[in-house]
Amino acid sequence: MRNAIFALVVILVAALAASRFRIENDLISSLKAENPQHAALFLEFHKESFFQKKIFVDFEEMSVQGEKRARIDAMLKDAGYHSISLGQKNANAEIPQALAAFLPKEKLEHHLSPTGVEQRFQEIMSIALLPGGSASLALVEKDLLGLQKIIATHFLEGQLRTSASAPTPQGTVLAYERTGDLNYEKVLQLYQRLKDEGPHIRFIGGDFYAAENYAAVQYDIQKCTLLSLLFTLVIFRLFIRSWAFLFLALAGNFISYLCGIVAVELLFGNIFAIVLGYTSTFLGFNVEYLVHLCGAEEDSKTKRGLTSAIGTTFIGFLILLFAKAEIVRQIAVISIGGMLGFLGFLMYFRSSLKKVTLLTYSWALSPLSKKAFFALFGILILAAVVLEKPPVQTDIEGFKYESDFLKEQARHFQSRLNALSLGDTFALPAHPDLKSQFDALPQDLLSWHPLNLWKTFEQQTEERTWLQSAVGQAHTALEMKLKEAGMRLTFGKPLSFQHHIDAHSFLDLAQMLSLQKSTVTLQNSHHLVVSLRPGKSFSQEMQSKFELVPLTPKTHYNNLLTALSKEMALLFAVGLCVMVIYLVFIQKSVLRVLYIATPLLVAWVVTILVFSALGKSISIIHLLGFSLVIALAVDYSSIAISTHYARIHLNKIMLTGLCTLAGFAVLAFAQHPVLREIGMSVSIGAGVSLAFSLFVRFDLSTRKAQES
Amino acid sequence: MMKKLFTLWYHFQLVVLLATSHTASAVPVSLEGLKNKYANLESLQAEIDQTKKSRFLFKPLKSQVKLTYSKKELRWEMVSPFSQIVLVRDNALVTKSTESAKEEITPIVQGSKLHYLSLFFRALFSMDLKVLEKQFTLSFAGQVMTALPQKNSELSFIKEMTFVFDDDLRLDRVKVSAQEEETELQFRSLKTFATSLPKAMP
Repeated sequence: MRNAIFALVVILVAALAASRFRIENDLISSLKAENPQHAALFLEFHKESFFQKKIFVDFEEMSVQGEKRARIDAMLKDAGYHSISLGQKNANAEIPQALAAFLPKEKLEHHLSPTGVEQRFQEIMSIALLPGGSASLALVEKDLLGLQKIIATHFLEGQLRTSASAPTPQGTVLAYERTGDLNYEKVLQLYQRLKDEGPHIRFIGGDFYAAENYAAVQYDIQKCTLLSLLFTLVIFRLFIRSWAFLFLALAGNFISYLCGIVAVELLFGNIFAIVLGYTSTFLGFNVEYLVHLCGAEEDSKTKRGLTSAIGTTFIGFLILLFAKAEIVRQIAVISIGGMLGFLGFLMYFRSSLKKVTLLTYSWALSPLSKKAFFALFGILILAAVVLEKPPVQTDIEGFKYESDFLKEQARHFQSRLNALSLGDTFALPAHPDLKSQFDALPQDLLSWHPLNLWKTFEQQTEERTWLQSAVGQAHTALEMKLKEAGMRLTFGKPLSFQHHIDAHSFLDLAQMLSLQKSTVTLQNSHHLVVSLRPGKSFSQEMQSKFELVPLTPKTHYNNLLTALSKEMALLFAVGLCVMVIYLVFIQKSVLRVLYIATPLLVAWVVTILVFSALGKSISIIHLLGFSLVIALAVDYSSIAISTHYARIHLNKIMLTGLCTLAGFAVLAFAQHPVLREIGMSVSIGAGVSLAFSLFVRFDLSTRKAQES
Repeated sequence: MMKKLFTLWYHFQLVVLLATSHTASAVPVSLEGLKNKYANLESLQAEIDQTKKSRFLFKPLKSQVKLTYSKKELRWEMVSPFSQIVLVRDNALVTKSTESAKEEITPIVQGSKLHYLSLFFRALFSMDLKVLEKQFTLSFAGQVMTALPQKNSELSFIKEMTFVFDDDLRLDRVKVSAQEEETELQFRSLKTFATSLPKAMP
């Protein structure tokens, strides 16, 4: 009773502390480029990106008229999205009319001609004479000749014509922007409602991906937790018939979980969702320690086995503290915190644990002589060296769940808004002579850029005499016509084109008409931003020649994640070396350490073979999974070998191993790729090493072994 | 000064209008009645006398208009003093003269003033009570329905609207008080149809 009250108090205090956590949902926002300049450029470029918080809706074939469209507008509004212009960041913002000087002469000639003036007059009158139409005449006073519309259209056309084969989107593609914070539940409701509208409405947006991923993870966690709990209970039932054990398992795991997140909170202040998901892996280790302490006779063999198992797991996580990425360090801290919390909890209940008895089963073990072991070990080392290893490479796409429905929507929009699915984007330090710098870049690879429209000072001088006079004449003619029609509008002076505009100022003016930023400024350093045409790429040589910094999220994060994977592989190698030294110290025999390492080696070779057969590369997700496999495989074999394959201990290994598999094998059937991949890699590694530890018996009858 | 005079004139007209409507009314107009009447409206044709006062006009402009409404578009044909046709569609405003077939298309950008103007215009003439109810607070007195914009209405550039109906709940007069202007529409004839317009009609 006293123990139960103690456990309850600990849980309540930890839960209270844990309730203050800020959970960071973005899996990869902890990853930052090593070069601070590159990291800052990436963040600055993507701040207020045109595509962020946007939803695009395609009202196909103009079939959606009045009421239906109003309903869809209302749906989006309810979910917190308001409509915006596709090419212009704010539908009612004023476009700098000075940009008219950079339009081709033929574009303006017609518009400023008497015919053009007549058309503009008709346009103004048609709106003005509608009931309520005067409201729009204030805009006419600001832009009599309608230059803003011509400028906006010209800039948008240029960007949409990036790909020669790209069809110009029709006016039915509309853009909507989110005003508040992302609300997954609201977005999921909107997603379903838009889906229910049928195939004539197509839609896409980053928020739908985020919501779909959220829903997939929620579904997976619920489904997998339920299934693994069911399997774990069945497995427990086969080995242990004690309610006290079940209570300790549940309460201990809960305390372990809370200790882990409190440790992260204290050290980092926030916690990543994926790190929180990783806590489910505690179950495997915790059950292992719990089971091995059940009814334990405190002999030296058991102690050695447990010390080996706990020590190597601890080393494995300790090494991860040296990783550069915060997310990996959080995993290390949460695991160590969880582990220490659980062990501390168990210490308090040691006497209760001793009373728990285990049902045992027996099976035949395949003995492996010393000679056979060396042969096997040699073959495994050879295979690990000779076998072609899958590439260590992480693709950010592997972090994303995408339903067939959204895939289909993405395909549709790629063809519809081909130009908007821009190719890779890069930043390069801007030179004072921006245009010459831009012209020196391989133009055949580049997509549309506002600098294509910029005119040199000589060209500007040539044009401005004509423009000044044409704008003046058109302005006067239109003013007269409107006056004659009875309109009393107040205009400023006709626009002046007296001043030259340099390339830097031009890009600043054009910024509001560009679908993506064409410059990025960091304190005092200016950077020019260029995009490649879809399917084109810069060679490595070009990248270093022009000092290009990749800004495309996919490329940026793939590079970061691949570098992180390689760093983790290195950390594992260091960790393994430390584990070997530790095991030699505990086991006092190199041969025993080789025995202990063998199931891990088998697991590694089998993993390589499976991955090669499936044509998969090794990503950071698999490496995270393999960090668990290292700890589990070493635990199984060190206990089996330390206890000389005693039946009770083999049963304990089987119980804990099956519980781990129950937790991870179900993940292999998850919807979300991160959970699926981690489930697959742990299931393969843990399954193989468990089978090897349970069914292969090393010949320990050497003098040294007997002595120990 | 002019603005004040317009407002005074407008309110005077409103009082006269309310007084006359009471004497003429047989069945008072109600939201339910209007919903029943216009639920199946597919198209309509009307001839209207428009009087418009605005700070953008030197003097009040009187014009005659032929209005045709269908789900596809709203056609606003000014017969006098200018000859001009405006077609209000979902995503574009089309202007053309009666003499030539050439059309001037102004795309309607979502969220722009033109977008909300077209939304209002279509709702007004099609008696789209769903939109009117959503954007305005409607009140009824005798044969008159008054619409005042709701707090966060997208059509807040309309200050007030007054609709006067005849005994058959057909529109007789509409007054629109908007930013910068006041417009009165007097319906000379109005035909509503529960089907699309016959092909022979414009």
